[in-house]
Amino acid sequence: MSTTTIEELTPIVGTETESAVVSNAGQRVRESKRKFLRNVVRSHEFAAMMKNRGPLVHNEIADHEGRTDNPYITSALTNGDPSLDGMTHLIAQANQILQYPLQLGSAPGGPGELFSEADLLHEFEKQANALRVRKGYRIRIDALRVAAELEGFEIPRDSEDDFWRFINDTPFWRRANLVLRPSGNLRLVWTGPGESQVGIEFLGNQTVQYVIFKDHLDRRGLIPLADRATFDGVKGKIEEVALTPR
Amino acid sequence: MLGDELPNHNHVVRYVGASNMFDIDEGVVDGGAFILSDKDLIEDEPGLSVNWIEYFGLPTKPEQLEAVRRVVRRTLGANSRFAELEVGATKNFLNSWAPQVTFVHDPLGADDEHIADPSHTSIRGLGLLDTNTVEIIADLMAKLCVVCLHPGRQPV
Repeated sequence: MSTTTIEELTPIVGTETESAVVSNAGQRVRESKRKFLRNVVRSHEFAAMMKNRGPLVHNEIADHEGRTDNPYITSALTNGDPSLDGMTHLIAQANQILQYPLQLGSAPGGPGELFSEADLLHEFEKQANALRVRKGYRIRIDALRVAAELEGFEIPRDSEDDFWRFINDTPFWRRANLVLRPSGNLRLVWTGPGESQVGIEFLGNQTVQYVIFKDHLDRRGLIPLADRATFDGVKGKIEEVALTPR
Repeated sequence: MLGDELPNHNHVVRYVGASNMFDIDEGVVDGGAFILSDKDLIEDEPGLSVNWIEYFGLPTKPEQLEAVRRVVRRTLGANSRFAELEVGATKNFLNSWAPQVTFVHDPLGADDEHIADPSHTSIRGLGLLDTNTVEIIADLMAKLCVVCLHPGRQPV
């Protein structure tokens, strides 16, 4: 099987021959899964994310031609920016496909190779969720900016820049509460089981003030952790207390 | 009376703006609400500004809160809250971190911009602590000492 690059695939768009009627339900589902796979691969953002696995992806679809008829993927190809709604739609579509009790496509390179449709979907969901988290933060910051203006101050630029740097460093961490401190600095707070909590305030200069409460807080014997740290330092602290907010 | 400590079984409320409320875990206050800011009145010594709700001698909580809304020197935001603390319980919680904390009645007189606030109280003893301790105490107060939240504006 020859390797097909994304560039070589581009002319395929719009040249799908008439589909044969497939009477076998399993075959139809398999075709549907292949179609989904092709659509995902043609989202260039996703393809970029998968660049290290690209040849495997291309091998997988080399003998399957078809037109991209998913409007979200078409939009992604045209505009270069799949919308959040589009990604959500794709995930829903993928989950629907995977409900069928069929064997998933196996990894072409054997068990050691990370590439099956399930792997793709998992990665895709992670990416979609990361986008959702970023969008949530953006909306919240807009609201906080308005609140700050009403209170007569501004969110310090250093704090906001550091916040986005941190989010870029930890794209798959789960969404945290985002609040303002009296200084106007941004602070992220993850809550966990019991009274566990991680709070980090962005002070600027890639420094944070953290306060960590361990799980199952004993109100009489409480020993919370608080200090200033670098980004790497605070990530280590969070992992130490097993409160990694992923 | 000015300078008196509040009785342990009484309660105070602290104004909390929407930017100090969690947005994912709804109805939870961030510790930032309990850190001294320039909104806190600093005269003789630094103190967190709160309002003593039993001061007014009114029989119900809604009436007490409405009396506070009339005198508190903050612009009450649409999504703001008043966080209620019990004096004695809060001092007990903070005892191992800041045993010097006191709730001191500190009424404010009228000025050109404000009417008098006879219920104003200062939580003192937090000003001289190091940053890390202040951060811990603020989060402790938010997590463990808030009895309940009330709307900043009177419900319609």
